[in-house]
Amino acid sequence: MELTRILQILSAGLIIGGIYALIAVGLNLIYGTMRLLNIAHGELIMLGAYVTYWLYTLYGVSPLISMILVSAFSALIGLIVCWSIFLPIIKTSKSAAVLESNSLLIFFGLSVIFSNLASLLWTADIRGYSYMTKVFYILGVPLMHNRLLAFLVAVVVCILSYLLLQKTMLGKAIRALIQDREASQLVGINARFIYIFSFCLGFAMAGLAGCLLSMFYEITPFMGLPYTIVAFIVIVLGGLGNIFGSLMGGFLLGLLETIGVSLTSPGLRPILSYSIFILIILVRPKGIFGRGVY
Amino acid sequence: MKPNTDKEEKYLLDVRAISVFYEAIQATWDVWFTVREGSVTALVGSNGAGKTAIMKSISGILPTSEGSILFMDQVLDRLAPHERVERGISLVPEGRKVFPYLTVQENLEIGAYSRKARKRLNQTMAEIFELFPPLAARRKQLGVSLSGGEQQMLAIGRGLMSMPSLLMLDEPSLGLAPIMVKLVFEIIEKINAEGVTILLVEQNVRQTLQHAETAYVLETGRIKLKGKGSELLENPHIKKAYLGL
Ligand SMILES: Nc1ncnc2c1ncn2[C@@H]1O[C@H](COP(=O)(O)OP(=O)(O)OP(=O)(O)O)[C@@H](O)[C@H]1O
Ligand SMILES: [Mg+2]
Repeated sequence: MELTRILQILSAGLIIGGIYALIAVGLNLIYGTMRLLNIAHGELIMLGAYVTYWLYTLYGVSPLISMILVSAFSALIGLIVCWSIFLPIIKTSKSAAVLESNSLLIFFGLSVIFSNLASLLWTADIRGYSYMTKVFYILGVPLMHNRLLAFLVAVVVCILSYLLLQKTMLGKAIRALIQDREASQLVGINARFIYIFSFCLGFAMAGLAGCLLSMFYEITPFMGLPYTIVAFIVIVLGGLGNIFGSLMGGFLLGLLETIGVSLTSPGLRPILSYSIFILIILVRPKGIFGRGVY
Repeated sequence: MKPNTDKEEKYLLDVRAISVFYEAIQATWDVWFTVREGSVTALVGSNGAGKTAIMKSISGILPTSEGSILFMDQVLDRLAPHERVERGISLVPEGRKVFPYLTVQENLEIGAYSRKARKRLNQTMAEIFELFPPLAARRKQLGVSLSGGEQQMLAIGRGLMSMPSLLMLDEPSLGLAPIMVKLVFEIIEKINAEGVTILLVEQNVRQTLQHAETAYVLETGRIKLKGKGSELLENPHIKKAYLGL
């Protein structure tokens, strides 16, 4: 294979990997702190994509600005959902098992509601728009501006969230709560506040990912599910509750998928991802980074 | 045991007839006791007596379904755990519960999470490192990589980082070698000499009674005896049931 082709595959892998990382970190934040698996994560991505699309096509709002608007909008949805549904059921659930099954059902319900609402409001038509479609060349590899932008934004946000977790008192409190809920309360951490914060941040990251994806992928009411699955695979790959692992895992899955697809065919992408998933579960059930890195 | 009738005394902590439940299972019945400001007060009892349940309910992890807990003359009952830390109550939990994947330094930093403690974080941390030199040498090491004794030091240090007026320790000597046990009791005396009131839970009855000003004996969820530490050491029931004499 010639060098440009290899570079092309690598760059495509890193671009999608950056977005996978963004999505997975968001999901893992909520899982790690609250032990809730957000099956509706992909639907937040879908909503983010639609909001960006409508703001652009109806009002000419640049997707660059939508990044901020959509993140704030998604965080707001997170706040409402967390406040009105999850804090109450955490309080009333008699045991962790009850909470887990109830919350799975609720998230499943939310995902059905969001995607059906989107198809009712906006029909199931495939949408899309052109933005920053100029092509330029790095080392002979053609790259569209919008993809490079998405990559840079995803990387910057991932790095910022990593710094938040490592360097700030709030971030240390999140990690402490992930590691030992009871001990974190004993040192004076307000668990409810951390739940709400992680929920909003996780939702905002999903919405932002949707905004970025909308610049170069098709938008439909049912586009979310594959991303939910990808996020699940990545958080297992990187270790449940291990945020750093999700970051690395996102890039790793993006690269593996793209390389695999380029050697076989695009139709095999889901099969490839699932194979990686099953392999990880069999070989390293605690994820490739285990629990020790974060 | 009946309530303390001596109204003159000033109590930092006043526990009034609390019953504590683990979900549906009742762990204590009608527990009364008080902790005088500046004292080392002990709660002793055998496995399953309900000592941990009481510690957890004072720190707000377990709800008290009956009775009331007063701290500095204010009722705590409706406060969340983090609000109690802010008021000056700190628990060094049973089993240490050091954050395994935070470094020693991060474990201590997070101990000063409450607003008032955060302002003095660096000074307090320097004091902790002075109190526990082995921790200073391991400040970049992960909690999980420490020995049992070092983890106990870290747990106590973390508990002190919130600048508590009441430090509660739940079986701090559990699983430690005799020399470490001795060290832990010395540390407790030192901390107390600095003005921190101590509530100590132990199964190590002899040493605890030697150090405690006042001790309460808890049996199957109820307070059975109260007395000066030195008096209880001579009590025939204590001698037989706890000291193996
Ligand atoms: N998580 C729990 N769920 C249900 N019951 C519990 C739970 N933890 C403890 N108990 C029960 O509550 C009672 C009091 O337990 P607790 O842990 O307070 O005792 P303890 O005095 O601290 O004992 P030890 O010295 O062994 O630590 C015991 O009968 C115990 O079986
Ligand atoms: Mg106990």
